[in-house]
Amino acid sequence: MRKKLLVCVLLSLLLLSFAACSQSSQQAPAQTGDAVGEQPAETVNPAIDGYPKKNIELICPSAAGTGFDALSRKLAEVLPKYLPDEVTIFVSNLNSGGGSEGWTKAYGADADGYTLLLYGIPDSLIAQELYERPYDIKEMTPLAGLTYEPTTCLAYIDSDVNTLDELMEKAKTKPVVYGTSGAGGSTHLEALVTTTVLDIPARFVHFSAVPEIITSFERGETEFLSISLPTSLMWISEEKAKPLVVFAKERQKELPDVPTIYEVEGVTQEQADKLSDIQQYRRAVWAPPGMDPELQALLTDAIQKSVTDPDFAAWSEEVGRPITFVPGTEFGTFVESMYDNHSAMMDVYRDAIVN
Amino acid sequence: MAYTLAAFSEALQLIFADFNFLYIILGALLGVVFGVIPGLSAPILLSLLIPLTISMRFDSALLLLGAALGGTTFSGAITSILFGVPGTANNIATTLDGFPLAKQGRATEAITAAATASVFGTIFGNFILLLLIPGLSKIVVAFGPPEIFWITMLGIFLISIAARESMFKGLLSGGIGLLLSTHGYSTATGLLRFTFGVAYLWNGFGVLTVTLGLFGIAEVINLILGRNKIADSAVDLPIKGSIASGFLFTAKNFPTVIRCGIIGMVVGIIPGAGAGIADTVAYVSAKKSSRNPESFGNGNMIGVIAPESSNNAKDAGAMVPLLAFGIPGSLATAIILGAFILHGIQPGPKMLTEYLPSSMVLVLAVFFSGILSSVFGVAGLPIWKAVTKIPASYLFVFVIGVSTLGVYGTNSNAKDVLVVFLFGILGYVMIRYSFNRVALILGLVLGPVAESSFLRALQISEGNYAVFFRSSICIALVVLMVGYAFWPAIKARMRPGREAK
Repeated sequence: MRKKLLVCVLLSLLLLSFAACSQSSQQAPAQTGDAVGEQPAETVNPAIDGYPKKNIELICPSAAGTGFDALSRKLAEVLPKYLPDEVTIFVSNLNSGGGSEGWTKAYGADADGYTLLLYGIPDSLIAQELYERPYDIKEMTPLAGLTYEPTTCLAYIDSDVNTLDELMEKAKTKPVVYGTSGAGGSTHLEALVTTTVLDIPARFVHFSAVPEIITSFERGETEFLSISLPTSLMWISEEKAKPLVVFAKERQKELPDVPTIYEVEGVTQEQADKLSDIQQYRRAVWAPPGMDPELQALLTDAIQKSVTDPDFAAWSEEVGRPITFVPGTEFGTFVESMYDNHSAMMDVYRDAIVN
Repeated sequence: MAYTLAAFSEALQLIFADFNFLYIILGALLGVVFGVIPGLSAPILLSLLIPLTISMRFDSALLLLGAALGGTTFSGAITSILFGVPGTANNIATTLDGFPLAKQGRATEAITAAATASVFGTIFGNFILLLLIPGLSKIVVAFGPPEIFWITMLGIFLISIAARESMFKGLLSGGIGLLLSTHGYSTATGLLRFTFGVAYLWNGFGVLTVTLGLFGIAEVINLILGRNKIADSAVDLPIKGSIASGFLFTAKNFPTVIRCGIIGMVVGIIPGAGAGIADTVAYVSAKKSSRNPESFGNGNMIGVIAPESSNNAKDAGAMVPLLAFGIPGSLATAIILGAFILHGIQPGPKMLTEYLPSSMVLVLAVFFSGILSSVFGVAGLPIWKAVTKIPASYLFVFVIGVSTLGVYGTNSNAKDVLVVFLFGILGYVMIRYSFNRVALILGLVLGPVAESSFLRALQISEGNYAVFFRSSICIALVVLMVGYAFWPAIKARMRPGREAK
């Protein structure tokens, strides 16, 4: 009986300790603005005084082993070198709820520089609207944009379609078939934007990852795929797929022979503007809402130095994900315009996913 | 083929150069420890090792990670046999006859037989994998959504005949597993289902969490509440004279080992369907083809060697989509893909061309580790014997503590701890009323694969159901399923005829 009692007590203690851990991560955001207002003018800004004093958590709302995870871990390795004090930055993969767990935690954390988040838009912005998630990315403090990845439209290597013109022509006789890496995911939404704006009749088959779409190309189940430029390069170099068009204002150095959407016959200037604005992916580092501008500037500066560090630059070159740095203050404006562009498409997204 | 052989030779030279083989020994040892302890598994071990391997040379990292993966598969059988709690999700079916054998005092024989079957399964699976490497991409392409759908249907169908208890309870348990698998985000529809506004449910219930609850925590509750005598859990382990008989038994049943190895290879190829399926399908196959099927579940040694051969060959099968297209066959292989990315290598077709020597290093690490872990498993018999002498009340605390930390360590989510205890209670109820816990796990694992394959197949065919019979693989799987269903009746009809003659 005593042994049973011991087990029960230990069990309760374990549960209580985990419940306590869980509670501590759900505190309300700090009112940093009020605190700053009460300080005497001659004192050093407390938001950056002595920062950082402790280790920093970099939230990655994506699973271990993904591209986001790799980028987060590399940044966590290099960034401490450029902070006033060299503390440890540890990566937390909080990917429950399609990443909602990570965003929710960062949104509710203190904007004291000890909780940061690395992820991309527009998929997280769209998900926030479609699934009514308990955070608002527009209110987050952007620290730095890290990448610019225009969307590329790919076709199966053995397809008789070689240009976007030919794709549009083919769709007139029968809806073309796109493979996606999940309904509501970025490859689905990007293909949906193309086909909606250019009025291309299309069907979608939803797989769970890009390699599965490539195998479906070979089985003749699907024929096209909309995907970010860096990811497309491997499948192009392996001759599994060919690029039809890049949704960008200028030709990209990685695919110099592939036309931009502006060069495609039958696409108006207005359609091309809309597609090049919407069809791009940006990875960025964020902080919770309401961060002190001086602390924001300090972190933006440290991130800029990190991504130009030779070690980081060599790594990004090696993994084929070039860095396009955008300071946080500029990136905020960009988030707003991205949000407005996608808001106009929200009904299309909603209909496609529900149907 | 010449390039494959050159890459194979390069990988072998690398493994035996310098002290590289020590990485395999270390990985296999860690794999054994993480496999033996319920709650700790290959994904957890690999997650812990990945940060340590960032600064290592890529090939050394692959040796360590591959060996850690290969080491856990067999060692989970040790706890399955000794305590009736699967060390990993790969060893669920091993519990069904392993634990009854241990209760009969034949634990040493069962562990040795399982270890030998694991070695055979590893050798067979990896040998076939090496032969297949030049044509791997064609194999993956042959399995589209309709083919995968029928394979999952076969697995779900087997649930009913795997049941030791009534077929009704087996189907009901599998149905509960299928229902539980519907929680969360569906990639095929993009919709969130049955989340009730709870963010935790967006990713659905984790297989590890449910397995530890239904097996680990449920067994502890069962013992605490006195449904079983505590003495039953401490098994007297005779050491002398049993090792050879375990080895010989497996050697005598070599055809069964090979047949189950083939099953493991095929199941391993299906993304997401590896753990828990390969062993169960092999178990059911062995039971169905046995002359003495009623002895299964009461301590039939075939019931131990069949799943152990299959789950080790499954690791080789899981390498097929991984190497051909960068599609992970399991959570553990997904984490290994992460290691590729962290070292600047984008997983995909280049793994069979430019990075083929590295891919070979990974395959050989899993291969050598699979063999080494079986050797460690048998060599460690005195330790396992000592473990069984630990008073059951201490083991309760150990199992609860490790299960709790195991699920918490995977996602750092305290809610997983709560869920593991809730499934512990459900598991206890299932034990009490003789429901099939293995069937529930199978339903949970196969549900999302079956559903998404079904919907994808219909998306491809624009709603035409003929797509489910589009290939000879589809037809063969349907015939197999029908054959399994009606074989006992056909056999019974044939028997009186024969006897009359």
